[in-house]
Amino acid sequence: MYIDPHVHMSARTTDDYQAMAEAGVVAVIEPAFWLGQPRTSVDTYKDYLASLVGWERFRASQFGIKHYCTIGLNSKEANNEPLAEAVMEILPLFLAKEGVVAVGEIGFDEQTALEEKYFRAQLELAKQFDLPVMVHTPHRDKLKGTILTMDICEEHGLLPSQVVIDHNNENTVKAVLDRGYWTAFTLYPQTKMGSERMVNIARQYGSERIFIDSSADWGVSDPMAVPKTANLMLQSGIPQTEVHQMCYANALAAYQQSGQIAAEDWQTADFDQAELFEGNSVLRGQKPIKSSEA
Amino acid sequence: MKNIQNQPLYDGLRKALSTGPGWQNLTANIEVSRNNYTRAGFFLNFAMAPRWFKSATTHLELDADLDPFGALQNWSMGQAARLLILLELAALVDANEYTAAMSELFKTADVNELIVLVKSLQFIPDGETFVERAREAARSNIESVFCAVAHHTDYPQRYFDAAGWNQLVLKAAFLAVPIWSIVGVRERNNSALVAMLQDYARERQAASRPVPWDLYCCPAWNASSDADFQFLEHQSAISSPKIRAAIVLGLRENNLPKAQTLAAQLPDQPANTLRWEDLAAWDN
Ligand SMILES: [Zn+2]
Repeated sequence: MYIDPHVHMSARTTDDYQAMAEAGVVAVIEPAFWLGQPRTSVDTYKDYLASLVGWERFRASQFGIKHYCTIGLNSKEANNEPLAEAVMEILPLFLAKEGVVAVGEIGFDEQTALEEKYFRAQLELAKQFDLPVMVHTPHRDKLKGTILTMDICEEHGLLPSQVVIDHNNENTVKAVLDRGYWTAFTLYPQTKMGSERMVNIARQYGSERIFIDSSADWGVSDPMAVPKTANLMLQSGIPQTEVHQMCYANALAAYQQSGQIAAEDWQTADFDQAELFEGNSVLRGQKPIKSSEA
Repeated sequence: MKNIQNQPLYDGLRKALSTGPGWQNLTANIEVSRNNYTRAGFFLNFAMAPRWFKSATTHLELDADLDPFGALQNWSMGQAARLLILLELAALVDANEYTAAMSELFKTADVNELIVLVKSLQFIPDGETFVERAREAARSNIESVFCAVAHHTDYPQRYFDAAGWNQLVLKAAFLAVPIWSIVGVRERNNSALVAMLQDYARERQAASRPVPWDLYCCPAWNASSDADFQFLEHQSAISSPKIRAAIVLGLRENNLPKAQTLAAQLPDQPANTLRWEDLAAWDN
């Protein structure tokens, strides 16, 4: 049983959902992010957020996967001030929805003043709505940006246990773990963090407060990264209990603080596509999968 | 604050909810809205209501005339609280704000919120204002949202135009959810709809895919031309026992002598006491 706690399913196909379900992924968390190019109006942003709590949740359910999301203004679009102001206005409307497990993904991209302004404002929203925070650390000038991110979180009175720092690598892992934050790793095929490197990190740092995700989106990425890396870890002799922590339990513990995700959601869900959902739109006439057959 | 328009339902909901774990929270937050209405506060109350009531189910002891189509049966307290919040809103703000706030809520709703909103249309003041939102629900591929507008409500019968009505029934066939129990399906049956349903049945059969058994109620009730009767006779010959029974049942309810004759001639005569709800329980 796996959770992929960071995956942009809106950009993926039903083949991906099917493969993930077959590999044992029971739940996904989809952080609000940019779409590869900036949005030009708050209305398209609103429709995107609505799709995360609406259609995408339904689409996942057809494959027996529970879908959760995080809601936030991402760092890239924080640099468009009029858009950012308007998005900040609508965020409270979405933060109270069912299945919203964090404010995120937020943080720094270029580490501009506007990025910092809206990062701080959203930390305040997280406190107001009693939600954890999912932080996207910058891909450039990473260590400095990561440390700045943690400093700001603490300045706003958030506990490290309430914050997930994602996109870590060998250079940032120690600083983040030492300060008590949830330390997440995005597994990128070929570049950045690969599965083999992740195995080495797990060997060196153990499994406490560490978890992995695919961050799969519209770019070159692999929605199967969590189950694949779990298998590689097991083959490399990492104990089953530690793999379970890093590929399921730690992410659940981190986001469970929202009160909006619990193991019962997929353990007791009476999932029956034929009865609950229609068989013609997403499945396009394929035989629906009944829970007894899945 | 204006008067609550649907006072008996409002009182019934309050009575049912007053025993629930979230009652204090609900009434306190409604009070805040009454004293100082903001749209954001209304949105927040609507979103949070189920959390206040956890998963408590209601035993809504409402008179049948308050819920004539059974839409509120099996509602949780959280859902009932959301309806109460909508009734409060309607009484609290002017027509413009009511329409604007409701429209915004529809646009940003999550799946469960959308189901409550759509089901509530038959109970809230000026529900017909939101007929386009109901049409969108009738286009939804999320079955639970579609069924919220199609079943246990006379809203489409009252407010959908001819095209909207026909698309609703056709979509029910497409989703393979009950057609026979749509309120008004007999009264609003028409030849244009029947032609679409006949085409749909033929298209499914050409692809060797099953046809919903209760699709045949509309063509059978409406049959009058030779072509209509030939279609039904042929379908009876090539279909399952359940569909054969549906065709006979529909023809028996068609007053034309020719319909009565064909009904008596078709094989596998079901009992005279058979009703649509009985047939619905048959295996396909
Ligand atoms: Zn991401």
